[in-house]
Amino acid sequence: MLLNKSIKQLAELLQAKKISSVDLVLESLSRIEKLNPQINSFIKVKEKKELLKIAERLDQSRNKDSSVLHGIPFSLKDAYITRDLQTTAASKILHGFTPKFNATVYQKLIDANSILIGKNNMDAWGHGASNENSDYGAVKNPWDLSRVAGGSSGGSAASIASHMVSFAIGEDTGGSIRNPASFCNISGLKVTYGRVSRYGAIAYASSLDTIGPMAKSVEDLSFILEAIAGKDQLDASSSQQKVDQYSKFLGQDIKNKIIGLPEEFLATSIDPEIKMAIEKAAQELEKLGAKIIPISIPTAKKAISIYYLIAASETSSNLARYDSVRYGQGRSLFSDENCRRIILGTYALSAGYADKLYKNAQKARTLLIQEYEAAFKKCDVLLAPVAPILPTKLGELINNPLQNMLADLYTVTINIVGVPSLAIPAGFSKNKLPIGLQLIGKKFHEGELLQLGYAYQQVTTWHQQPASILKHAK
Amino acid sequence: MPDSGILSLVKTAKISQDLVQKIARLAALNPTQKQLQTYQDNLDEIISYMDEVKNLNLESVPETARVLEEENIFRDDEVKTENMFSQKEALANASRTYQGYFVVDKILENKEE
Repeated sequence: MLLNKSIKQLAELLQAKKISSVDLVLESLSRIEKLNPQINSFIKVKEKKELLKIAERLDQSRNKDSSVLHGIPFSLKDAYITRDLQTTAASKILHGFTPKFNATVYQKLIDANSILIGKNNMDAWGHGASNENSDYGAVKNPWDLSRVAGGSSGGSAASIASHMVSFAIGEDTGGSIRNPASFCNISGLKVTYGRVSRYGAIAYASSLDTIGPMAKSVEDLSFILEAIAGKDQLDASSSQQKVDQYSKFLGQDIKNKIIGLPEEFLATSIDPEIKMAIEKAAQELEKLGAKIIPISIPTAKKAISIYYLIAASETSSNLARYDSVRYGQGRSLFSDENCRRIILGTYALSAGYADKLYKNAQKARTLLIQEYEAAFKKCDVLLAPVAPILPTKLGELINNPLQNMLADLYTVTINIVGVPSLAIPAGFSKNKLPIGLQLIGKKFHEGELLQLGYAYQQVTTWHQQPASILKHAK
Repeated sequence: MPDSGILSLVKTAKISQDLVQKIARLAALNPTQKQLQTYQDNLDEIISYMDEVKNLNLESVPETARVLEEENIFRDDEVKTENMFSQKEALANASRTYQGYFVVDKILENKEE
């Protein structure tokens, strides 16, 4: 077994010629063949023959200057445009769509010589927190096949948790990287808005969409982020801020870091086991020398309304382009969840309602930004749970649209404000379901989050626990 | 489940089925009667919940549309062939084409017809 190892370990073994990228590709394909029928985390897997050819070429071209990602297998959420490879956003509207260009994030990863294995299942157009709203079927949780993997990047999280690939790229508009990372016991980073180019990413809500890495550990995330972050001429909203060498932050001590615990994120009817895990994590960070202080973000209580008014409005506009003229099939193929969000957004933007709904949400967005700014004057980062609930049974959320939205309660404010947030494993419930925490930072302070997350992962073993399906698979 | 108590508080219809249908048509959606009923129920519940944004004190608060602080992002006005589609590539995913053109449905009626 190789894909249980970290990116750094794999890179060292590859450099020493103890293993090859051909070995990695073969292991990836064999695990997908064995487990994907149960998990359903891939919509499209590339041809074996083509993958082996790429792996052989990369094995030959490897030298001492090769990138740490050279020859490492990964997958992409199917929200990223890939030249001559089907891209669907998990909607039948785009079934068979084969784009003619590459998303920047994908181009950067193939420039770093990583190997794309395939495209991951997701909630169609990013609409969902459970990955049940996919026209390609729900993704099942590798920890319990009767439960959801989280969403919307559920396929990516489940693929990493079941060691089908080394890492994946997800998209986070209101929690879509962090929620499935938490449900599947992996690590995921929602970056600062503009840190990673959105060129070639299928848009859900343009002022909230962010692109980020998902992997088994914080260390892995830092290497991936180094490869994908930065200004892109093809995306005017990508930031010119200098890209840090994120792996340099790892191992630096976290003494005297001030961590704020926002009371609103632990007060509303949160699952008591999750609350306990977060409090234990706070103690763990305290032992490492951090200081914990209480913080208040009062408007966070209204986060779901603010977020869904903005996100639905933007998605109603973004999805208007799917008219079946240039690509894709007709609009009758939008799912019920897609239709609800389009109708909600159109309503919130329509004359007579826009002032009370959309504009109020945009004003409330300002309040949240101000409250986060005030919080970050008192502390370096915030610590919070990722989700108020444990992974639900399949069918529970998809049949209750409002409850589906409420699962995003702790993740959406971060997108509204535009700051980064790192989701990492923080324990398990009594019935062995994963619990995740998030560390939320100031804009462009991804390095600080990775530093703290790495320190936490040096003294905990939650992230090393293999998913149940891997134990049964042996 | 968080905040499920709030759902039982709201039961007055905020959005009629006619309005849902009108909005759906604006968004070029064509739901069945059964879907319309479901959407009305769901949206009624969701919009009632969202009424809470009206209770925030927002009078003097400015709106925020984007969180980036950068402004006036320019690039040189030059042709970049590597980012251009050939006509064949541009049409490759269209369901209907005619002599190098996209085909669209007629939307204007002739008066005499």
